[in-house]
Amino acid sequence: MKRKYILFYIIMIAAACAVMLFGINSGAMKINPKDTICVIAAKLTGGSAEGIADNVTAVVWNIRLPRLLCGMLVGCGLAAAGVIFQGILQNPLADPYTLGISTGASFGAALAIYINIVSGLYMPITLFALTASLVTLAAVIAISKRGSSFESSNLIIGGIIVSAVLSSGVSMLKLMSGENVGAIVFWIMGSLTASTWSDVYILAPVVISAVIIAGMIARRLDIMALGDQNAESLGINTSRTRLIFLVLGALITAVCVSTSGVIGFVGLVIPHLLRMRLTAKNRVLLYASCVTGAVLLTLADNVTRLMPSGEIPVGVLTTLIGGPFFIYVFLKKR
Amino acid sequence: MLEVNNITFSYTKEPFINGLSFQIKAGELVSVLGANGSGKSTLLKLLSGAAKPQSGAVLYNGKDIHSMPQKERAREIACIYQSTSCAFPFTCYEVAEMGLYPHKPKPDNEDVEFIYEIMDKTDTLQFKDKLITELSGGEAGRVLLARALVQKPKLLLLDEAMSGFDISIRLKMITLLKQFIHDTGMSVIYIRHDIETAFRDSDRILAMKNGSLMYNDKPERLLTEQFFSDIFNVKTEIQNDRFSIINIK
Repeated sequence: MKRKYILFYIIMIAAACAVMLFGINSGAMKINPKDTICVIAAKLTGGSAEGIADNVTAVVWNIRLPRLLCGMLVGCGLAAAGVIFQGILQNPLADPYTLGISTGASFGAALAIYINIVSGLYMPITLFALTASLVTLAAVIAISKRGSSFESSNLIIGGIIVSAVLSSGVSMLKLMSGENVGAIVFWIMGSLTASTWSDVYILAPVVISAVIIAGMIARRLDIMALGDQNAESLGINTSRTRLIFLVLGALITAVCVSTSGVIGFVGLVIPHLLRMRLTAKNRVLLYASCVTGAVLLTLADNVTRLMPSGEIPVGVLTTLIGGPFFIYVFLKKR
Repeated sequence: MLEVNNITFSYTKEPFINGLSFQIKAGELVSVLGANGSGKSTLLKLLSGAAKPQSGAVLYNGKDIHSMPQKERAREIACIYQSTSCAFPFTCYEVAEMGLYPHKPKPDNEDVEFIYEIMDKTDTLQFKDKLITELSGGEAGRVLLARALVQKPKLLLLDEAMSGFDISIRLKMITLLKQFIHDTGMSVIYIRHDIETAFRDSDRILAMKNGSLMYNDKPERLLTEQFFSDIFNVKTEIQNDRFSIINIK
């Protein structure tokens, strides 16, 4: 492996540790790093953290750690999905939301929130969002498939169509929710505030296994950059490869959006920048994007959590910073 | 090596490729000529396995090309399609290395030396660390040719792969291909519009019109006014084994 890649990984993993350490000890309740380590060690070994107040244990273990881990996993997942979607669509401006998977999740979540409002029930929002995003994926595949072939242009058109229909559905649910519309709007903005261990248990297996599988076959994406015909002549079944990556990318996006809402720009900016600055080789790019996404989203979440004026949804911050930054990079490149 | 038996193909109801039959022997450089829309690029897709004929068969060493496993076919046949570009900023070395994919997932030291050797021969080693997206059309075309040669093909299919090359580079690359043909017994089927050089360096010329094969012969036997009139619809004057185009017919 090239020395610059190793150096990059070392720096980013060190940054991830620093962000984790900072995040877990900072907040309304200041916690001694030693107490934090005691709580985590005690929980992992099944013992009890002696001499540490119960509220400290609760804040570290039940609030901050799951939130930080969710931030890491969502950041990693969205950036990985960005690499995957840019690769299969052969478009550096694609992102995890291009094919409408996030709109599907938003619709599912909005529907669950609406049912909860009108019926007083407690429908699980994450489950609704996850199911709706998977149904959206199936719809996009059904629309864009032509015989046995899967072309990137058809996928984009399929995504736009499904996304437009579901956006209207979300708007309608917002309208029908009346004065309770805030609950839907806040969910769609994207936030890690309500992260729990259940979210970690949903995110971790899907994101980690999908990234590992994608990494194992990432070389095929490199060759597909030469166009489908050339990739076929090099022995790649482009339709099957595109379908495998589509399912992996969509699964990652579905679990990330279902647990945290729509967090913008992570999946677009990070792969795009790293491809320009580090490498276009998809295996390296995938892992590099994962660690960078994990660090940057957790850092952004720490910033939003510690704002003196009160917390804002992290999705708002990533879009506020990511948008202008992307414009700057784009103009500089031109 | 390659046997094309009465293939037909259509995009709509009307047949576009109409009952083509010919053979290619090992170690031949065959140029395919014809006016725009005569079916040359479609023929290349049928020969490479990218498109399947509605009737007839393309046999490679006796095997139907469409029933060969894709990777096995890629170990035998390399293609460069018309207007190939790279969607992402890979270095030229990384693009050339892609040619190794059908043979092994990761190159060893010997393979790296082989890739360097091919890049040197195609005059692309000088920009091995440059991004392919930053090269001119002709330079990028040479990198794609290097990628195809790294694939170690026994049959190389080119669709106007050198149309962006200046004349000296084009002649140099043709000489290189002839050297490969001589050393490895590789065959080349080359769709092209540079008629003059096609007549100079081809072992055989296939000329197409309206999806049919009108001529299949050695270049010196095709150097007639009738040939240019039939295939390109132009009036020519032939003198001392050279032709000059006088006017559109």
